[in-house]
Amino acid sequence: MSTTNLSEETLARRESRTLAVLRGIMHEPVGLIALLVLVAVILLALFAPLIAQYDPLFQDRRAVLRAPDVVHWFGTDDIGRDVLSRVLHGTRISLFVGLMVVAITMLVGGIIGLISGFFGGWIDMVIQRVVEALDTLPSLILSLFIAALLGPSVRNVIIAVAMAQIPRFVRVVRSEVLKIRAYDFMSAARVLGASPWRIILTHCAPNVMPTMLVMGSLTFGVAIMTEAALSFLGVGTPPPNPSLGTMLSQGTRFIGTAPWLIVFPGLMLTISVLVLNLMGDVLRDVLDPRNR
Amino acid sequence: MSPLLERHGIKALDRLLPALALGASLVLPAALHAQEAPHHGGKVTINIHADAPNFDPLASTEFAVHSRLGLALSRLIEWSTGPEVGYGEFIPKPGLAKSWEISPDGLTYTFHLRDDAVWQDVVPVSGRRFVAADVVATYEAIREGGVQRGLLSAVDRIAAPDDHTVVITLKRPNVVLLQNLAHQNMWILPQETFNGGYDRNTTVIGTGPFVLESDEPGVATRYVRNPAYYGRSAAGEQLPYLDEVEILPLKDLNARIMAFRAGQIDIWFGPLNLTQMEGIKQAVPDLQDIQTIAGNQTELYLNPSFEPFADIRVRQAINLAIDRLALGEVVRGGGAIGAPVGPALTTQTLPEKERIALYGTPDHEKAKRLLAEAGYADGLSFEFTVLNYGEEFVREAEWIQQDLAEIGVTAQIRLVDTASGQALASEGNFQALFLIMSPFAEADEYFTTHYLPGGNRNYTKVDDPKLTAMIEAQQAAVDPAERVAQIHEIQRYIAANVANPLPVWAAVLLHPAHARVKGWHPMMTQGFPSLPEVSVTD
Amino acid sequence: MLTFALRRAILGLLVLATVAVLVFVAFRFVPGDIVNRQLEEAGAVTPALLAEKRAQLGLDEPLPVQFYNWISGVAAGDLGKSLWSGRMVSDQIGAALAPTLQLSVLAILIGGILGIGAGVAAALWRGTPVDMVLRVASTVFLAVPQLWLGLLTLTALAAIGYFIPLPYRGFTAAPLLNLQQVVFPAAVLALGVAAALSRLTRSAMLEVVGADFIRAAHARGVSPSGVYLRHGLKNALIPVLTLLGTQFGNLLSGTVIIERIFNIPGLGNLLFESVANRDYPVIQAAVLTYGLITILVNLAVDLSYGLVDPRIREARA
Repeated sequence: MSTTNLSEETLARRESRTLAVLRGIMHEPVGLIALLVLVAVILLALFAPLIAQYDPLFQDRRAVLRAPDVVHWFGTDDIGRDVLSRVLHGTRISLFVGLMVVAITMLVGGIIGLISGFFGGWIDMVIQRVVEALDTLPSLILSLFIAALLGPSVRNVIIAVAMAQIPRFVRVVRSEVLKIRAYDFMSAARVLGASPWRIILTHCAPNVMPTMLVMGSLTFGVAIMTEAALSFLGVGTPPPNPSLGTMLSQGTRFIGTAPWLIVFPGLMLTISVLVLNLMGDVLRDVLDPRNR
Repeated sequence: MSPLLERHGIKALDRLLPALALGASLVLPAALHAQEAPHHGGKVTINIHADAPNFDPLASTEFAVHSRLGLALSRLIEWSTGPEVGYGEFIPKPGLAKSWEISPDGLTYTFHLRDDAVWQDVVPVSGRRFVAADVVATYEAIREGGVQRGLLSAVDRIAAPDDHTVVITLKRPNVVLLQNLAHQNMWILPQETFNGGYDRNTTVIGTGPFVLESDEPGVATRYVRNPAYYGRSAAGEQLPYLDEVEILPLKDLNARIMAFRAGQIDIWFGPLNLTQMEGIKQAVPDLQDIQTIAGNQTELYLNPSFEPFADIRVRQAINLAIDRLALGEVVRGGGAIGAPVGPALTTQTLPEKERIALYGTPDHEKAKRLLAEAGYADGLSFEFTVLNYGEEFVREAEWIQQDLAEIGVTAQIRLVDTASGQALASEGNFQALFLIMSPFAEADEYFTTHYLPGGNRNYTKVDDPKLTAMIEAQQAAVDPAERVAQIHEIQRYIAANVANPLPVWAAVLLHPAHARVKGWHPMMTQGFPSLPEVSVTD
Repeated sequence: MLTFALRRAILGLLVLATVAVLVFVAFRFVPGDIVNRQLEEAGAVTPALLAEKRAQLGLDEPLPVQFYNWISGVAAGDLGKSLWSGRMVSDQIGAALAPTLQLSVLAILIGGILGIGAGVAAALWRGTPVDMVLRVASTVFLAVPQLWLGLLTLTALAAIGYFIPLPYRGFTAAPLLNLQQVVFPAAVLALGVAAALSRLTRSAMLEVVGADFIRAAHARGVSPSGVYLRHGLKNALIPVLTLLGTQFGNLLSGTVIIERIFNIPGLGNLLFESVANRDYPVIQAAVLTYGLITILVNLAVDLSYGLVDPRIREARA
């Protein structure tokens, strides 16, 4: 009985929290602008096929390396593809990769962290050793390795980037669970004979959610940047897909002659990461208990 | 006079000099020569976009190794260089062998070695005279475990009747032997290295124009002139002219471009496209703009184990879909259309007109008809494995993808790194594979590797008895003109009956050099054969 | 304190061993090997020659045997020889480590000075345009990918006609030349560090504003900015140290890209090349080196907590 009451309470708390987040965003002018830009970026990415004037893969072989003009706002690349269309579709791929990475990281990292923290013992021991081992390598190098191992494809990039972010999630979620485990309502639930999985789902998971959301939103930007770096190094999103990182790599050959190949994809990349980071900041300000 | 013309003027004069010297009047040419004669001294810097992992010529065919070795080592037979010699053209020139004879049955080659060559003064060889035993030791070691051993596969015996004679006996006539001995990997080493005298991974001892002074990976490879080099210019002057050569391993293209613009590199080596060249030209307007056709071409392999590609009509259709001339123009900014024998081998490849007729005349209607005849009227889809040789190469793949889409063929690009790609290729684990072929210097090398059963580039398992017989016949054709005719015939046969791999394009190669460098002629064979005759004006 | 350090060190070694196993096993599943690369340009290669070359390098042995041979060497301090160059792996790692560490340390130094300075300035002049500009700048620089910043730097340098002198020289060999070569890449890396640091420093400084001891100091007539500085910086020390520890990992990731863009023969470039060549001993050693650096940095950060704050030292004892 008391457990149902508790989860209703958490539910109510969550609703008010969502409102609080929105209110927090609205109140801060920076947050509002960031939100608007983010929505714009997401809309551009979502409707890229409708907005983009050209097929991002179509090679107009008579219009190669055109500087930006009224026909091609962002110019064309070295086989006559429209850079604006490619940037829009590239953003789409970047955001998709970022979103998937965040989802996988939160899900996998969250579950492993919950298990590790809740059960303790040898399970915790094994998980922690693996997490430490993965965490020892700088994240880009770990991603680079996994990507090289799996070969370039969008799916593999998502796996590679997520794998490098999961250890951090596991650690944080685990420590949150350890804190919660000490609370009274948890021992009460255990005394009442609730199954461990039920306790994890009804008590632990909702309580680590805010932390996970904050970390997830901050991982979004990191994921997008890592995807770009991997693509730049040739182990990321494979051609002919227009990834922002692949476009940068392609543009390096024309650094002195066709700067638009570098400027626009990089600018879009920066704007996306910037607004995502800002949203993450706002989210943290609102959700972080220390800020409340 | 433009720098280019000026350079050619000097070369023309150089060629005239020996002839003039024969007629007693030495005064006039000497006076003329004094004005523009190359002088000794100075230094040039060359970039190579990779480090030499080691200096053992028997361990790998890596270009970064053999390019560097060429400065210090010599071969039995060398490549002629000069303004009149094509980039990929092999005109034998005496190297460590000053002359040679071939027996009438084509089985015995007798080489007379030069007696004025000495090894560089590096411990433990320390300036010893070069002798026939060095040649025998090197070739035997290659036959035993060198990566080049395939080049000596026709050899039966190697003997040294005296210190200055080497006799090579063949199992079967093979007219390519001379060229094989001049191959970029066939450096002669002192015999000491084969009985543990020194470690050839780290120490370089040769008879070549320069002595390796130091090698710092990632930083520079430095050479100083070898005062005891046997080479002489046409005018009889001691070579090399340069005192020092430095090779910079700059892996990043932009770093290389900036280094060249800043004058930190005198001679450019390696990939560069025309757009970048335009940028360089604006910064260095007086550079020597030397352009050649690359010795390597891109090739598209269609695996017959993937059902549609077992039908030659499908392969022909794909051939007809690709607009190679436009691809070369847009993606590579020039170069030459491919053929079974790469276009850099100007006499052995098919004439350009014929190459265009066979490979450079896209016809999408006919392609669709062929597909329909083969039962693929609705098109087909395949996985297109592309080795990651860098941006421009990937652009070529994307270009082909769009061309194929126009005849209803969907190519799904799968990008793999070159090491993976090589493994997939030799396992035959692909549907279609796109790669850059190694820079072969002989038609025979193309044929034996691509089309003979068991050949190491025969990724599509071609096994055509008639073709095999034609290839073997060409190896024994002693008359050069007759052999060229046979080589052309083989290529026509391949185009009509094999159509696999499909040759695509050989890029234009740009070799800019600063104006201060004189006498520079890039050659396809590795090791910079014209470097001994290079001089600088300042 | 000592037992604590010892325990951490042993734990670190265990972690490294796990990394070693993972890397060793994982990379054998990537197709392609060094022998194909060595014979890349050879015209005629027979399967016999390939097999012979593989046997020479010991690549034909069963995987557990190869692993045993390698790990027993590593345990004895012998990282083996590169399959590609035949050189000692330890020499190659040593040569590549120097530029990477120099870049990282320089980036931390530049980033530290810039970041802490900006954070202090933003806190002292909070609410003023200075604060606004610094906050915006730090937010923006946290979001700019180093990859893009590096490329833009090269573009800008090319536009003004400045060329970074080449080839790369070590600091001991040619200090002036070396500094010219590393200053731009280090600055690119430093901007990210500085951005993160300035935000942290600012908030740590502001936390003490309302604290009692500040009011007390005020009452004693000590100048407010002096108090802010002393107490604020002290308050910022622990989080800044933690951040530096985590930033070091990001920095190492950054060097992989930056070394490539700026042509610096560091560990990242070495790793990249050895992966392309399937040069297993070098790949394994490079990864272990990255792991070792991270463990050492974390250990150093942990130990410095104790030095900075006696309470932590006591708690551990």
